[in-house]
Amino acid sequence: MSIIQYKDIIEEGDLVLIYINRSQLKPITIRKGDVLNTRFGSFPHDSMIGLSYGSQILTSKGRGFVYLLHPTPELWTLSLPHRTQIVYTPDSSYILQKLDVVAGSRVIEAGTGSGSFTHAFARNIGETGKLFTYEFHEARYIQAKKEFSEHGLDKVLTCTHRDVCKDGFVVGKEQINGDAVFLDLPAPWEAIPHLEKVIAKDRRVGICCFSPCVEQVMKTVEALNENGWTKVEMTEVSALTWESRKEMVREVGDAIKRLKDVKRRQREGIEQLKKLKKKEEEEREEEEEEEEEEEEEKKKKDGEIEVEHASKKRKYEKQPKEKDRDRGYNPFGKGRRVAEGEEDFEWFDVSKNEREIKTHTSYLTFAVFVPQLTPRENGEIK
Amino acid sequence: MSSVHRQEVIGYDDWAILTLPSSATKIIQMRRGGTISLGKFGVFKVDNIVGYAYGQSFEVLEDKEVQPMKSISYGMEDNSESREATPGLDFQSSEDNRDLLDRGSENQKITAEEIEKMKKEGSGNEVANKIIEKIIQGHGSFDKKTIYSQEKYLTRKQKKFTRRFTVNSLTTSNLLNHIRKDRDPERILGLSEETLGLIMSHANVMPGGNYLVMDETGGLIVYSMLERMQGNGSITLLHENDQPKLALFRHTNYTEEELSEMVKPISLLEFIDPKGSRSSFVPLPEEVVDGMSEMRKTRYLRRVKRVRQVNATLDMVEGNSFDGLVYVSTINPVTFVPDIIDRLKGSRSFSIYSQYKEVLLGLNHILLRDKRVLLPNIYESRVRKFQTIPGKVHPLMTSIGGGGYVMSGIKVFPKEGAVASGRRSKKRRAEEAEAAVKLQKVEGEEDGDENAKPQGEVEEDYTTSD
Repeated sequence: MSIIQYKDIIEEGDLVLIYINRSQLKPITIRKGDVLNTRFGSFPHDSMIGLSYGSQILTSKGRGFVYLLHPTPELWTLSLPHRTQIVYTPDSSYILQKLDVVAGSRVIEAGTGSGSFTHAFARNIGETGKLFTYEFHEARYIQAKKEFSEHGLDKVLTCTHRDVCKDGFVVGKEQINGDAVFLDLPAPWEAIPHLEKVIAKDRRVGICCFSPCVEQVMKTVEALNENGWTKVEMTEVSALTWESRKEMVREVGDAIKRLKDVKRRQREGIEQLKKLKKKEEEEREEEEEEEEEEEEEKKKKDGEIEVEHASKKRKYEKQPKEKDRDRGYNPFGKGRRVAEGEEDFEWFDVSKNEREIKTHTSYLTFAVFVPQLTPRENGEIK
Repeated sequence: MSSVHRQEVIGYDDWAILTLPSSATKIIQMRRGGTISLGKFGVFKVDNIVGYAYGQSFEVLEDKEVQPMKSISYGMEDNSESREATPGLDFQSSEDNRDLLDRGSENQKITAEEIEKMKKEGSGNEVANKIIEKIIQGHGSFDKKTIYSQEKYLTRKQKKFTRRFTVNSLTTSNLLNHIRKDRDPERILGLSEETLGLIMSHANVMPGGNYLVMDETGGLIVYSMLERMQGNGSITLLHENDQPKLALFRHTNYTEEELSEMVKPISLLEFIDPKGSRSSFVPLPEEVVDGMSEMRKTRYLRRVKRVRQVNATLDMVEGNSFDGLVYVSTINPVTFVPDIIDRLKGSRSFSIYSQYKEVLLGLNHILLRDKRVLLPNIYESRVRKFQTIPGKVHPLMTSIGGGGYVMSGIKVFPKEGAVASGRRSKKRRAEEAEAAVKLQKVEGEEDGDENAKPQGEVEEDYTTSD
């Protein structure tokens, strides 16, 4: 199979992304006889063969389920085993758009890293394009190359173990003719001078350098200017994911009603308390005497905090058991809990961010290289 | 392969985008022997720019001639080698601006009339240099400015007067930014370049795919997808009128034929009722067709082709065989998207765009409970540009607002009676959420893991079934 070509039915040898829950996507390769174990139960691979992508499957006991998803570069980005910091979709999608990476494009990528962005490049260029990706870390290179083969990307890319800063980009005799360049390197300025040999000479070439620090950007900008790149532009992508929520429409009139209710209850309570008072007083007289003595001692020891605590405790004990009483909905805590969006209540459709948001990934430094063609000789077009 | 559109070298009859020093843009067509007027920036002959690579910059000379330039700002930028574009600049500058008084127009001795008169003295860029020189000489307190301030002033004047331009190819981004910055962003529903990128990636748009599309941007979405697919795959274009509205294509390099080969229009009515929309047309026997006059035959064959096309499109709809959905429309997606979901193949993605997050929120609430959809997420992406002058790096002070939002999701086939085993007690859920947060922190420090989101309560309620 190929990650960059949709298929409909799951077969042996396919890469399937198992959707376990929102935060768990597990890549597996379908092998007859293998079993996938999750905390929701076991799923034999045999039961997946022949199903449509997107199918939901249940455990034999029917207790748990997972979904069988077709890999896409974006899902792969969420599920891949991290070996390095990776380029996430908000950055990668903007870079693809701005560098105009489309079917047939010839792309140069260094370094390969975990191979996340490589998949998105491969998707965009398709089989008419070509991607040259370089990684200087041997173990990462081997792992990435293996994954690319398993994902059916061999046709569209050449993965090379190479330190491009030292040894440049030339591979074998193949004309690279890159028209889009992506450098995700600690020192892109060391690789930029080597690009001249491998970029296209008959058309505009775009570049994007991906660096987290401003200092790196400044060195990169200098190198780009020195090596004939123009239209240098530095940008930063900030992305947010929004969760939809419902916020109850609470009105001040309700709050006032509630306050009136509390007041009424208090009044009722006082009446009742008066009735109980005599009885209680008799019962408690002895007890309180003892307590007071204790308190006096504590006061000397610990100050007034303890006293407050003790009196609170007593107050609490005095209150009737309200828990069991059905008071209907009460927007101020006690009473029935209302689920978000429950009918019979009015709701605002609202949204909020995730708990933790990415505030910085990297700066993107774009530039173009325009070959200075000479279409005219003595005023005539060649 | 047909409709492959990779513009590399400026050619005759091409549609392209010109960029001026002020960064204003203009769509033009390269007519053989024609001239293109840039208003106050001069005039040039098309023949003079044909044959250069797209991206090439030129300076306008006298007599509609041009001089190729390395870049539009060559010799003008603060960080470039020299300011050769404006010679004769040798001024004193100040350490700071304590002596600089804002006296408005009193500071400038050159009048607007004088500048206008000078502009008419020639049609080449020489004039621009002269004007800038005069303006600086006429500036009463130019020497009271700091060197930085002088540079800035100069750059501003150069942007205003320099007679240069860049010829850019009609990439989707160039076209989008032209509409967004120089036309009306509302025409493309406020869509920004970064959001378009998100739409395309989240819908997994690639060569060879068969996509269902709603496009209310006059064709920008269709254009973007055609550019990405380069003749490989298909677009079934849902429209709400007699004909799809693709006004943008009038000024592009796609021909009618190329469009009709890749883009299959289908009205909402046909889409909702594919069976009832099938043509009852019965082809005539061959001998009848052979006996027709040429004109009648052509008309007949065209009709047969059209019927076949419509039926093929309806087959796609009835076969639920789309590889993705890109929805860019002001028709409330709540009223339509749930009906479209079934038309997608399994495990295919969709992108729904709206200029307003609120519109997507309503849909998100519905799809969170829809078992046919996984990961319905709303995304926002905003790009910020920076000034990169050494020692003076900072984000630009202003940029265009808006840009829109994207909701994506994945279509799946839910199974009857699937019960989540994930329902746990509130206490346990709370514990797990806490553990997940801890885990996320640890992993986040290691490699910035995005996956380990804490499992919120609501999320649990929605994702578990029954």
